[in-house]
Amino acid sequence: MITADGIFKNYGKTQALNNASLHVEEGTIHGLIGPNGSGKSTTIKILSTLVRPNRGEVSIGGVPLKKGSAIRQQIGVVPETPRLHEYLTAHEEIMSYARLSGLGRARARDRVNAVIKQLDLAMVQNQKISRFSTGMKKRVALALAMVANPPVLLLDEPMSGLDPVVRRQFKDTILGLEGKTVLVSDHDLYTVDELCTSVTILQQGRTLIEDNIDSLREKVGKVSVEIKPQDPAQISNLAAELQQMSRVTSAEVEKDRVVASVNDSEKDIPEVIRMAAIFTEIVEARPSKISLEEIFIKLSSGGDRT
Amino acid sequence: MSGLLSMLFGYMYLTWLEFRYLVSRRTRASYIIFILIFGMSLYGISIQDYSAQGMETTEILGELEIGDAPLIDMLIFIFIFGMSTFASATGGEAPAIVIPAQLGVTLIIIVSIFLGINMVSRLGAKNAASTISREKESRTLYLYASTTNTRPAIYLAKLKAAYLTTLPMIAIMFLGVYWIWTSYFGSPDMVTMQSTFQSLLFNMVIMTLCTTILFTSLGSLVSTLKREEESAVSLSRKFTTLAAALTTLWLLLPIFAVTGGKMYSLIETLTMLSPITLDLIVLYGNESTLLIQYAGIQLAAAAVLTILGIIVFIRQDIEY
Ligand SMILES: Nc1ncnc2c1ncn2[C@@H]1O[C@H](COP(=O)(O)OP(=O)(O)OP(=O)(O)O)[C@@H](O)[C@H]1O
Ligand SMILES: [Mg+2]
Repeated sequence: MITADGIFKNYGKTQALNNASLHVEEGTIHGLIGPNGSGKSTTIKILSTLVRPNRGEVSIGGVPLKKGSAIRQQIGVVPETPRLHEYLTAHEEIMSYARLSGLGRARARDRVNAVIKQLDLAMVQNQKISRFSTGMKKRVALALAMVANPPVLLLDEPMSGLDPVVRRQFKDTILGLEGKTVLVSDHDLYTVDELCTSVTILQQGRTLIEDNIDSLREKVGKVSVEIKPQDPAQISNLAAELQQMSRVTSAEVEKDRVVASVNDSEKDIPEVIRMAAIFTEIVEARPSKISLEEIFIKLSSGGDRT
Repeated sequence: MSGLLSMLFGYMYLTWLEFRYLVSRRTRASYIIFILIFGMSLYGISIQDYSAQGMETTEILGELEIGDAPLIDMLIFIFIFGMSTFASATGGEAPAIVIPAQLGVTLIIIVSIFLGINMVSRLGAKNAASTISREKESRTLYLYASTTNTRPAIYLAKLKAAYLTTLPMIAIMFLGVYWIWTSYFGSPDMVTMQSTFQSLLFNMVIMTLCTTILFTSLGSLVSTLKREEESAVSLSRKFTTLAAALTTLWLLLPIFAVTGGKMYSLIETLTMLSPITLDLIVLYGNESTLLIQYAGIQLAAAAVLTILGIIVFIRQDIEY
């Protein structure tokens, strides 16, 4: 649905994007993660035709970026910190956005009412936006993005600055978007982990990795088991022994324990523990799921800094 | 097809939104001030007594040549008036100011119309300057730029809205001048002035429309170049003030004529840079060829500025 290859973008001397690429399958929720300044917002601004790339091939739903209006017909965008017309009420803002998107009066009214209901804005719809909190403004911004019912949503850090209740509501809304293609950026990997099935990791304007979250975990060692032998002298021997198992992708010494990553799934863990127990006496064995956070740290510390 | 139609709807709605914003938030005070000042200048003309002399002078407006400055007539008149009423004034009588009809027309042109055109174009420029810069400053431009509307459509819709806000003023100008004329020069014994008046009124409306388009286009360009509303508006004001100052030089040409030579021709060239000078020359010259020529120049300049503004706007990155 979204393909972007070899995007470059300079702001004066700052290289915001330096050969970034992104591919999002239709109907999926895709994460765009990276530390501050890695170019997430720049990527989203380029996809929403607000910013022009210096170079790169971009298309959404087969439509090349050059056809700005046809691209915008397919997308809804929610900025990082949405600024709205403070002098309008939420209802007025959403209504005028709907009309600006070319919806006729009757259709606009239906859609506005639908998104107001969906995003729980009915209570505040007639209040001036100047009185709104960040969370409420985000909800209005999401309502704007959804009002013309575009197939693609580009959400720039939709979860930042929200309290747990609104956060949950947002999460449910995003997960409940049926048949939509959603791109969610965040530097918080936990958020992306919760929402997405696939991710693109950006670093210093470059795409570090693009993958499914599951296969990413597998590559870095999705499931691992930590085994602590009774005798510290046995640690390296144990690691070597476990390494020989076909099911174990890697076995590394970490302080007083061995961390063995397994190939396939969690089913392999008991077998690994059994082998370890045969080899030496163990005091503790604990399976652990590697988080995106660890993947990220692992990848970016190994990643090039050139 | 539906895409095209939705873009058209979006465009029309955008024009309406911007117009509503400009009228309700930026323009009401300008309308009131305009009515007051323009009304005062018309009133100034209306209280003169035109009936006493110079009714049916053959030397009407159309026969004055371009570059002939109205002030010279006025200075002569005031001098003669001063000399002729000096005696009665010293004798304790209050002399009535008596102005020939021809000079009355001049007064309408230089005082009221100049003032009117200046204020109308100022409003157009100022409102246009606010359109895009305001949204940039509040980072709300994405609310338009992320809809199906194209950048040229956004630019033109906002420009059009700014232009529309000036139309009520132009209508007031038309009605005011029309009223003055019919009340003071409308009597049947002033037949020769009727046709002069009709073309004057026509020329005034055409030239005011053109000059306002020009200044509104300039304001829009300024608006895309600036990031803050206040600086865009103040820059656009500087342009209109400059134009008014240059046109004032034209009115003062007879004074510079005394200095003569190079200085005079330099000032004459300079003052022609102001579109308002062109307007007054058309009104003063009262010739249709001049009207077509100068209106054409102004519209062409407006088109160039608008195309330039659209190109700049298309190339700009929009931050949210
Ligand atoms: N308008 C701009 N002018 C100059 N530099 C910019 C501009 N916008 C972004 N940058 C720079 O481009 C780089 C990428 O910025 P971007 O906003 O895309 O990062 P990000 O991944 O969204 O970061 P964050 O997590 O802080 O939102 C940064 O170094 C930033 O300073
Ligand atoms: Mg960002």
